[in-house]
Amino acid sequence: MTPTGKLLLLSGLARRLLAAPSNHSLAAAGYSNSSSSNSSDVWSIGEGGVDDAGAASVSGRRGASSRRAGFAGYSAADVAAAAAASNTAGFRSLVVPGLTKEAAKPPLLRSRHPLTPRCGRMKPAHSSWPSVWPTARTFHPAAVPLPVRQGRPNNATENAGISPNKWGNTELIKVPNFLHLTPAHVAAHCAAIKHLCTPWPKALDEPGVIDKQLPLRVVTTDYLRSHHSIRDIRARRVDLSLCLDRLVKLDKRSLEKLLCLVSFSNFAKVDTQFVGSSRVRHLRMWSDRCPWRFQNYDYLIYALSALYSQSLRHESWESGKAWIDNQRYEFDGSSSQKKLAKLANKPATNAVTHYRNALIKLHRQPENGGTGETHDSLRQYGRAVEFLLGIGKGGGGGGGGPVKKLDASSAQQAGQTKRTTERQAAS
Amino acid sequence: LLSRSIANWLLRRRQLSPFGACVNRRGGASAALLTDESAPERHSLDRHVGLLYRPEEADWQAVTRHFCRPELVRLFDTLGQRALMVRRPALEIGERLAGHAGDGRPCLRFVLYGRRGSGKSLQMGHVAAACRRRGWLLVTVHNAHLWMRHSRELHESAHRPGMFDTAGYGCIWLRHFYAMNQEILPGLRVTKELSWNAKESTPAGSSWKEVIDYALARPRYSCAAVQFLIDEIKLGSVPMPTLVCFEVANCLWWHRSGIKNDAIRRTPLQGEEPPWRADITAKQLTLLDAFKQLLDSDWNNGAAVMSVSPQGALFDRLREWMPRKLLGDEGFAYLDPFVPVYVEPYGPAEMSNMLNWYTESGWLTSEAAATDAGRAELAFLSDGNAGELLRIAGEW
Repeated sequence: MTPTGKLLLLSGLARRLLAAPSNHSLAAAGYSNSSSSNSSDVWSIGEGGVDDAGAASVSGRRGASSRRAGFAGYSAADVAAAAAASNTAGFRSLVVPGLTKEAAKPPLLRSRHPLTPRCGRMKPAHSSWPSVWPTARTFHPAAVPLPVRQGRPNNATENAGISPNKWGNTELIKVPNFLHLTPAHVAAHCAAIKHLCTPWPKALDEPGVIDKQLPLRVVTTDYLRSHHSIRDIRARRVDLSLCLDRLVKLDKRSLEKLLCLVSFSNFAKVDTQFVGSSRVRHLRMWSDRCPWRFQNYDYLIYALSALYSQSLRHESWESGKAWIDNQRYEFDGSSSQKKLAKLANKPATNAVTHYRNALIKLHRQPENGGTGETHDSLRQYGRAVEFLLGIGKGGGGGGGGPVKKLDASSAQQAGQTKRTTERQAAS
Repeated sequence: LLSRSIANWLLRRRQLSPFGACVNRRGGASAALLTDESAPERHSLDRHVGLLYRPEEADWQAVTRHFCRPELVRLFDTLGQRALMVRRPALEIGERLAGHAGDGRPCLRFVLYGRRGSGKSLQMGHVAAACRRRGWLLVTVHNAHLWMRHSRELHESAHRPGMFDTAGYGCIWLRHFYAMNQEILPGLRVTKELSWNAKESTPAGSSWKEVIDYALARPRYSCAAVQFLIDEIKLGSVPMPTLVCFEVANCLWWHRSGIKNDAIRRTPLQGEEPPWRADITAKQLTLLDAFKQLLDSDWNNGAAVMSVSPQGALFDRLREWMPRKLLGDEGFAYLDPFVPVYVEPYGPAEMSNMLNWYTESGWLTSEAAATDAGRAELAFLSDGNAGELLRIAGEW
């Protein structure tokens, strides 16, 4: 806009503002229907005479402005009445709407600020943002009383180098806003449904109780993206976890079958934790294969049910299970046990026990009660083999009878380890 | 190796002072460094651990030389002298063998494990030299993992149908075996008739030397000869005990190799490019299978000492060095029950002695190597690893 244009506009604005009464009524701005300058003067051909009262009221409102009298009615009385109605003792001018060029109205100025900014008109006592913006809606610059800016000018001359303001800012309209979820909104919503809620059971705050009462744990995650679309593909993922002890009717064989089935799947696993001396196993499953979250949840519930029911069901062909199919290392049936029979000299029972315990400790991973392969477990295995074959430092030749090296403490330890492994085997 | 901090190393060695671990030896007394006992079988755990000894020429040429890395052999040639360290693992194995092996007792098996460069092969060499001095028969295999990487001559085997012969390696090994046991071999006789093919056979009662000569003249039958000799050992026809030393034993149970079988196509591994030919593994090589039979426990009057190393895990670049992981389920089940022997990194005394010897022999030439701080830095950089120390000391 040229500076002259701006000046004209400003002057027009100033004129308008100065001329307008303080209540900023539309009437003063020239928008009122009733003050349309010539509407009261419009005579349609064929219409009856002017209503006296109307004319009188109109003329009263018009004040001192003189009008040219147009072609009056047919009777002298009408003329007289019209003459009396008009200030000047003249004729009214004929105005045909659509044809007569009316006097130039002041230009319709689409003012950016026809009113003062809303923030100036808001009264704290009566302002409630939730009632102004009750639901999610597209951003409206006039309704939101905040001087928000969005966008980045490409250079220093564009918009004087500052971010565009909110008026007519399409970027603000495109992106989602959360003006419908302010703390005031949330408080109002909560207050509205509070009467439907029951208090949180205090007993559930104690540790361990909630896992007992509500064993199934479902985890979902919501994501917020500052982008054209607020959707995030990761939000569809559902994680489900369950303590294995809570699955009833699972005997040893069913539990083994469940662990075997889980080991085949790529969306489930069994975590083992040691709480003190006891072992806690959790079944963890996850799904993001379906597009929607509730679909993934349904799928997981289905998968869990299928896993449980199938592990309870024993097929006839499962009796063909071999030693290598065991979930964890078992000494019974292993090749090491078979080799004991081939030893030249039959080893003592406690030597076999040492050997068995050492092998179990070496082969089983920590979650199954062993230690896996460490220097300690290898050393223990070596000592057990030396004891078995009779080649210890002080042992006799040929791997024969009992070796005298054992003292009371190690025998006790051997007994303890045996008991531990039996307890684990039974679990 | 270098990721372990000096604090951890010292804590493990229970040393508080950073320089207490490597005390610079003042004075020229060689009694604290070298032992005059050059006979490996007379080294004892009480007196000689951590000391260096000079191997005798005969021992060196026949036995120990083969267990050393080429870098170490070159070092000894450069310095003009040889010194090997007496360490605990070899002495422990030697003690077990002396007490419980031989004399018709079942085969004992020991598996040396440790990081690369920690000295497993040299420990085996110490055991082998000691046994050779006691008059045992030595069967040593050093390059099995290299036999599986390359093969120039590969034939379908006649004496074991379905398997492959590597004639060249068979000949090399027979020559090496003969050189190692030259004093013993004239006394050994074959108890069975060995038939090479439909027409030719060696009668029972022939000496082993004849069998070896025949195989060297007819390389096609070298692997068969090896198999026959190993059968003889297992039968118990050898009057003296036998020591089997097998370096990198885990390659016997490895599923990959560098030798391809053009006839068989296999499913491609991830990222593999065509053509997808099956590997010829150790199970299909007669030479390696023959030595594998010696590692079994069903024969008497002998012992087997082997080492496991990630060098045998071909094309996998494993960082594993624990025996069970390298051997796998199959290898472990085959060797079970065995005694695993850990070859530790150098302790403070051993490290100190080694650095002293390097300094005295002139291998460490820089002035920094003579200072306490320099020695501590060498100890830290090598992290107690013998091979690393050898390489790093070459730069100082």
